[in-house]
Amino acid sequence: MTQIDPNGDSTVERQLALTVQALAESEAKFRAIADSMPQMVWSTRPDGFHDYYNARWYEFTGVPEGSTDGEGWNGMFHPEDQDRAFALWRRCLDTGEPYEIEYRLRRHDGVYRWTLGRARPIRNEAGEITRWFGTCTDIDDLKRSDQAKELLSQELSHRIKNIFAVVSALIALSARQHPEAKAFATAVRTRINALARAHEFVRPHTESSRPTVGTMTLHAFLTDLFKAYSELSGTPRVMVTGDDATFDDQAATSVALLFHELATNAAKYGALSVEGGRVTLETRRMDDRFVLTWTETGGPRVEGVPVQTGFGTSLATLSVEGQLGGRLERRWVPQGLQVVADLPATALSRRRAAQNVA
Amino acid sequence: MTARILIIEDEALVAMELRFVLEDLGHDVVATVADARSAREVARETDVDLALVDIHLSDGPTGVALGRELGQDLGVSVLFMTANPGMVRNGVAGTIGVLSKPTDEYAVQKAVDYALRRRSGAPVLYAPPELQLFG
Repeated sequence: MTQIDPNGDSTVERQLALTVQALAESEAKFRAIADSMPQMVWSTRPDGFHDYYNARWYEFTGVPEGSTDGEGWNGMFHPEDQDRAFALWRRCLDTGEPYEIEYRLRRHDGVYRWTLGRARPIRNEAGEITRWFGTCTDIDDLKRSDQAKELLSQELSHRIKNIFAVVSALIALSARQHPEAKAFATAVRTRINALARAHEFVRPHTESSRPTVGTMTLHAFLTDLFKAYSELSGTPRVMVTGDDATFDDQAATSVALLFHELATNAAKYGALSVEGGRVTLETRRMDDRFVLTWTETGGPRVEGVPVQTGFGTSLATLSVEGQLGGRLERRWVPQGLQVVADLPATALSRRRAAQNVA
Repeated sequence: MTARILIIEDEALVAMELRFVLEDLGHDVVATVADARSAREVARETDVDLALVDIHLSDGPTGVALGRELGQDLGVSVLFMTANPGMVRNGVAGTIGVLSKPTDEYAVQKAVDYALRRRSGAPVLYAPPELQLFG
């Protein structure tokens, strides 16, 4: 580097010298900050060539200084994560998008630790990228804790389902000792089985444990529940349409009991009791309400409102009006029973609604 | 059709009720076992037509491997019965399908009849809707 004489005559030379000094101080400041940070810090040229790592990186990885320059960093990643990380990094270099990814980084003792890698580009006045600055943050403890929670959640879920199976078996076994109670036992067991099914479709409380809702929805549950009523060929006899929704454990029992009752009664007396009978179940979100409409067709002609209210009917009313805070209306139309359940939109996911408000 | 059936289930009450259901249908329940090792012993020593296999047994989640072995190596027709059908979402080679617990007697009867018809080579049109078939 050419020596600039700060005491030289030229103002330009003096300014140049001052600028160089300022740059050197700035660089020293940067290194001081970067080396004091608990995270690993790195920097690359616009083409992605890594030319700087702070002290933390070398302490953590234990590699010789300069040995991970260029693209050598990728080899420090877990083999299963290398391709994914490299592909994302290349995409960010091309597009200038901020880089963010979780991967396993090899520590000096050979142990792979989950790490959060993030980077952002620096641009000049023309908008061109001149440099990337990035950090690596150790998130291994957090990740393992999340995994442990997920395992526990799965185990609890399994135990709950198992208990339902045991209770159902207990009732059946008890009924064998009391043959006169067989009809009662069957009625209770089918309700419990419906409850057990519903809980399988309840969305877990922790949002993070399941990134996508996927199959844990109202429609998925209803389709599963009504499978037993389909034709031999598998064609469903209860058609579920309209807006889908998720539901939490508070609503699961009510949802299960309501539709179990409607289907059971339809199979005993209504549309599902004859071959050509069908049911449509339409679910619609309308402003702050969620409306479920059950319509039976093709069954025996309805001769008016039945005289006695079966216990099954009042359980459905109790569930909708009591537990879910909605309105249940039955219309005994000659072509077939119509039932409308009008619920507050938050009724199915009250827990989540409460969390959002709080 | 009377079949020799092996129940592999670690919840004694569930196993007992299942045994009664099958015996009421006229089948011969060869044994009820709670773990994979006992299941293998029975299957080697006795002729078994059909095995109803839970996934989580008293020796851990050994049901899947056990079911595969019974189906592929020992010529047993295998139906899984589990509260967690997701664990066999992609099917298990050599086995027929999975029933979700808790089941009702009617679903069990239809599933068993279906499995036995397939085993005997008789034509089968449809599987019962509660039975999730593999492949």
